[in-house]
Formats: sequence, C-alpha cells, structure tokens
Amino acid sequence: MPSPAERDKTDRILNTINELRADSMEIEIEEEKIKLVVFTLSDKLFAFYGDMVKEIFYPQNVTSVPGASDFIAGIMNIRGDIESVLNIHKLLGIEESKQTDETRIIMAATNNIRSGILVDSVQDVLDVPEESVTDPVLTITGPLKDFSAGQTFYKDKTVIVLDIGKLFNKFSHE
Amino acid sequence: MSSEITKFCDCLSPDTELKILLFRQMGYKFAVEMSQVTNMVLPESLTDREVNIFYLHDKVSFKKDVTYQEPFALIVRDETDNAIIVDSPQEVFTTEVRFIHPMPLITLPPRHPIWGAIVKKEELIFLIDCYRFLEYEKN
Repeated sequence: MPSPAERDKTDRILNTINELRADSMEIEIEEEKIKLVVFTLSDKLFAFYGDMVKEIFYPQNVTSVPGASDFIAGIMNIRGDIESVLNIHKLLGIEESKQTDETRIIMAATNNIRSGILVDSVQDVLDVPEESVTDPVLTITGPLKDFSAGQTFYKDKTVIVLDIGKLFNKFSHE
Repeated sequence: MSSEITKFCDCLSPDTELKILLFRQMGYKFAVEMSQVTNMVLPESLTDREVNIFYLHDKVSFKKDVTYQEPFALIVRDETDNAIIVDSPQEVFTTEVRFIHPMPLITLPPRHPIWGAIVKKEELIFLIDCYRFLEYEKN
C-alpha cells in the first residue's frame, strides 16, 4: 500500500510546478482605450474585449485530450507552455465550420484562467468609444444570451460582444 | 504553521527526477510514473490472481471504439491489488519535475487521471496518475 507521501506525490509535483509558474506571472496593465477584436464563427460576427486578448495564433498542432468535453478542441504547446483551446461553436449553438487558412486561435486571459479560443477568422482589431458597445438586444436568445456582454456595429453589421469571463466560467471546474 | 508554508513544504524540488513509462494507445501517447507501478504483466497472467482489473478506457474516454493492439497490465498496489490494462509499451525514460506541465485549468474535470503533460520530441505525452485513476468516477 502506498505511503501518504507517495500517494500525494502528484499533488506535490503540481505544487512545485505552480510555485515555479507563479514567479513568471504576467502583470496586466489596464489600457485607456477600449479595443475590440472582431472575429467570425460560421458567418456571424462576434467580438472580445481587447484587454483580455493576449495573442492571436495560427492553429497548429492542437492535440485533442482524451476525456475532455466536446467544447475543448485540445491543447497546444505555445513556446513551452501548454495551453487549452476551446471550441465555442457548439456552446453558442453555431454550426461548426471546417478549418481554413483564415482559422485562428485567440489567446485570452481573465480571472487567472487563460485559454485559446478557436475562431473561423479574425476580421479586425478596433479602437472604439466605450459607449459604442450597448447592452445586448433582448431578442438574443438561447446560449448566446448567456455569454453576450453587449453589441456594436462593424461595417453596418451587428457584432455580438462575448464575455470571455462567462465563457471561461462555463468550463471552469473549480 | 501557515497554509502557505504548508504548501511550500508539500513541493518537490524542481530537479527531482521521475522515471516515466511511456505507452501508446488509440493514437495518443500516455505515461505513468514508475514509482506507482509495482509490476507489469501480460493480462493473460491475471486470471488466477485476486486483482481488480480496469482498462484505461474505463475512466479515460476516447469517444470511439477502443481496441488494444499489445495490451499489458500495470499492477498498482493500493488497499488492494489493482491492474490497469493499457496498450503498447514504448520505453522508460527519466525526466525532471520542472519539465512537467500541469493540464490547463479548464481542460478536464478535477482529479481526472490525466494530471499533466510532457513535451518530448515535439509530441505531447499525457501523464496518468494511477491512484487518481483508481479513485476517479467517470460521468
């Protein structure tokens, strides 16, 4: 029978790793302007607040994870860090698209959770006045309603601004 | 003693070496830490033994029909003897704690048997904790 120390070895290893990683935590700086990263899922326009978006990647070497939910596309190695990649199409009730040259992974972070999010294309990064994002319209229903933070317009089309915190909370097991 | 100090004391040194057994199953690479395994035997030899037998796919979902090409059993001694049947052993290698990545927070349910990953030759290897495996109840 394993000793308590042996049984808890995985937890101790994870504690060590977390201590090491805490030393290299990023310090977030608030930006004065509101940035929006506009992207598509299927043929619909969405946006994330830019202050939560860290990087945008080409999707390469995303490894699926056995036992993960359908909303997890997989994990990928980004410069030595292992990051999760979410597939939010199903979560939002949007038809999944095939991966194309325009497919991107938006790396976002909020509330100590960091993950990539698979999108069908990134359209633009906008600097907009805060008041240009209004409350989401009441006609938004279904899963989208649970994750929308507001709406705005881009090239005369409606853009639904998604709340990354709410999306991550949906996946958070803690 | 504060909880912070307790947490610190629970850590292993980043230089601690771990012996890892690599195996391949359903196109994925998995590994277990050798200190958790008391023996490795062929599944056929388990028939006469009093041992709880589990298959990897009992608790780690592959979302498709699972086949075993070259099954072997990892004997894990807990309160009872247990055998976890996995596929296609590859090699044993040594790594250090510092090279292990925890699974990203939102990827898997808490206390899932897959607890971390190692990058080896640009490939991801999923680490399985045998004790967590035995305790884990798949939904």
